[in-house]
Amino acid sequence: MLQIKHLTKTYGNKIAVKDLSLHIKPGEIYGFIGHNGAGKTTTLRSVVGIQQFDQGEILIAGKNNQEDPLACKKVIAYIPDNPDLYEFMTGYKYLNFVADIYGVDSILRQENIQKYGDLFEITQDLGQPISTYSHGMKQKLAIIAAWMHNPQLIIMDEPFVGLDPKASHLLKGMMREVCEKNGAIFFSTHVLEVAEKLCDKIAIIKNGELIKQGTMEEVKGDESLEDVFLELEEE
Amino acid sequence: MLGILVKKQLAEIFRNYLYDPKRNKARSLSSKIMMFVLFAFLMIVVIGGMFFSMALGMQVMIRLDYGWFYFIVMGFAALFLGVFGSVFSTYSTLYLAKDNDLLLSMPIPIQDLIASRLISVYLMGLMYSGIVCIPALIVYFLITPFTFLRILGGLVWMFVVSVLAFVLSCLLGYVVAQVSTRLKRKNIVTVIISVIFLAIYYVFYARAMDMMNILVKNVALYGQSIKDASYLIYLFGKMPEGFLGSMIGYLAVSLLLVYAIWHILSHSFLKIATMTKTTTKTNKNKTTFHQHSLFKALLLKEFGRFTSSANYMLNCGLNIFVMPIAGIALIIKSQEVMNVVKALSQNVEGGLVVMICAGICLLASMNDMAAPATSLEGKNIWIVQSLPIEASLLVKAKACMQYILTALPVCFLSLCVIFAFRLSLLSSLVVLIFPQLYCLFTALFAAWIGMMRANLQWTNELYPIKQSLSVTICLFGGWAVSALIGFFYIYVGHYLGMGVYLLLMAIILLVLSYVIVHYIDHHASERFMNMH
Repeated sequence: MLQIKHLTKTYGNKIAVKDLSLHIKPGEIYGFIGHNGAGKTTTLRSVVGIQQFDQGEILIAGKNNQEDPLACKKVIAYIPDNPDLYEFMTGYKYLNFVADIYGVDSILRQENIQKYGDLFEITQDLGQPISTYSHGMKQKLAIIAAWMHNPQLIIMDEPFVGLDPKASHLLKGMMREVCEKNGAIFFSTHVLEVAEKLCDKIAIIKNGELIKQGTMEEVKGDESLEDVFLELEEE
Repeated sequence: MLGILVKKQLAEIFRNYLYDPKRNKARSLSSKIMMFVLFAFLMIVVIGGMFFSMALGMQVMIRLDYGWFYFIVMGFAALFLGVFGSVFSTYSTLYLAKDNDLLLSMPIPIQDLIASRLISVYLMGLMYSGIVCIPALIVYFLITPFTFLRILGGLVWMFVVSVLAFVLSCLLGYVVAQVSTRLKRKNIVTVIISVIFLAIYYVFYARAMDMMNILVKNVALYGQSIKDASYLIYLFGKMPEGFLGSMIGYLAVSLLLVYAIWHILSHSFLKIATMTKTTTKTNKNKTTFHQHSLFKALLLKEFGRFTSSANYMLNCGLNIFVMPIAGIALIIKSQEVMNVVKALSQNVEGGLVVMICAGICLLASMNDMAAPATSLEGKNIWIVQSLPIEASLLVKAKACMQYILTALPVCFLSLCVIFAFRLSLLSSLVVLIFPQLYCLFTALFAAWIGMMRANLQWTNELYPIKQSLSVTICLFGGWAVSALIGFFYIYVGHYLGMGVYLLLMAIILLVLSYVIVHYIDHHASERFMNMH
């Protein structure tokens, strides 16, 4: 589903990501962990195609995201770490805007909005301007928008930040559902407990370099993910 | 505590003089000095000079022993400027201050908080009313000898005017705050109210000299009428002439009003400061889930952004309202305008048509909503970057928004012009079509320059809307191009004749439009990808 080959990105003299390679297969939830400034967001933004990179190649469903960005964007959805949405729109207008962009028909969009709106208990607020939403509500709206077109690959940057426990639980279930339908999830998180319980595979990045990746068992063995992560950070 | 709060209030009012929001840092000392010198120049030389001229124009009243009438007129002018200069800052600093929650959560006595806000409102009113009062007093003392009572009376008069401005500002600010929290379409209402105020201002400004002359000529008649009808107003004018009774009376009333405002606010400030805002809620209906084409979705987004901000509409789309008004005014004043245009043009019918086209283009140039549109994506840029949208389509949607919002009023204006000047069929077609081509070109140009000069790192939307280079280029460039269309015809184009000249201009506009579209089609994606 997603292949990152030798990704390198620099900001001036600073290397943000160095020769990073990953392969995420359909049906996998892939966690991406690392300290602040390790290069997680840069990698995710490069995958989504909203950031140019210096070297490497990113393939989404077999298509190169630099050569055919539109085809790649059609099958993915992205939730950034800070959901800055169009504050001049209402929730409904924003969801309809996203649905129009992906060409989602009226029936499916109505079903999805109703379904996820009710799940996240936000339906009654969808008629309000987004400017009146709390951070958590914006995050929920960004999640519903991401799920609107039934994407094959969902990229999320710290998706659990700002969500209440119920919404976090729902999101985990939705992530698992996507994978059951042969989709894939690639997300970054600082919550190691969540990563440990939820992810099929995990990658740890430090100072722009991938220092460990694989299945949860391969990465942590008998230890907790927290212990492994802290050990790797100290090395 | 009060001192600290007043200092904070004043720093907030003069924030832009101390802090550069473009670069997100404090201004250098030289920059601060320059900003304050410019401010002083504007207030003292430009506005103060204007009212000094007004006072000089009415000095006859003083010489005719109607000094009290002179002070009534100047006092009301000061009151008007004081109230309208400070009412919006009253609304934002007194009633709907953004830091109300923060300050109310701190151990600050509520009286200190109210007092600090009231002092800043009073100082704003004093500043604006002073611009009228001080020139009025200077002109008065140039004619009348100084006496202790007159100097005292002048100071009391100025104080009374500033207090009345303060009281009215507080009351009007309260009304504005109440309306603002309850209004649903407040952006549109703000624009309409602003346009009405502008219209009143320009009508008043245009007729000010005539009104002043009538007043001066009939000073005895009007003076007597005022004295008979309202003795209190007469006493208001008598204050600076040294009439002690009116000074004491007005001073007492002023202090009473200040106390009343203080008393009312002490009891209601908490309620006002913590009132919740009403928001527009859209209920679900049959059309809520309608599917739109990609382009229409982008276009609706642009319209939504435009109508969401009164600042955006007023600064970049004011001529949507002005052009139809101009068209109607033209029908009313067609003969006078025609005489002027005839005098300017050599070939009457042809010259008239070119001048009309240039004039319409000049007005159309003042709509430039596509120019800041890309910058206004701001921190939301990730949305259009991450969605499967051709960047060229997005830029064209921005251009299309400007074209629709400009072409419709331009069309109306063209029809008014055709009706007003009774143009021939050919001339009518030219007046209808040429400005439309110009609108198309300016819309594409604005969207293109907006993309080329996009700046997403703003903290206040006013910066891309008012101060960005793309907006400046569109506005002044549009005026220059429109003027050149007229001038070229006068000096060169008339040899070709109106038809050939405008056809040539139309071809140039079309070719330039095509070049812009070509550039957008081939380079917009790359440009958008590199925007952060």
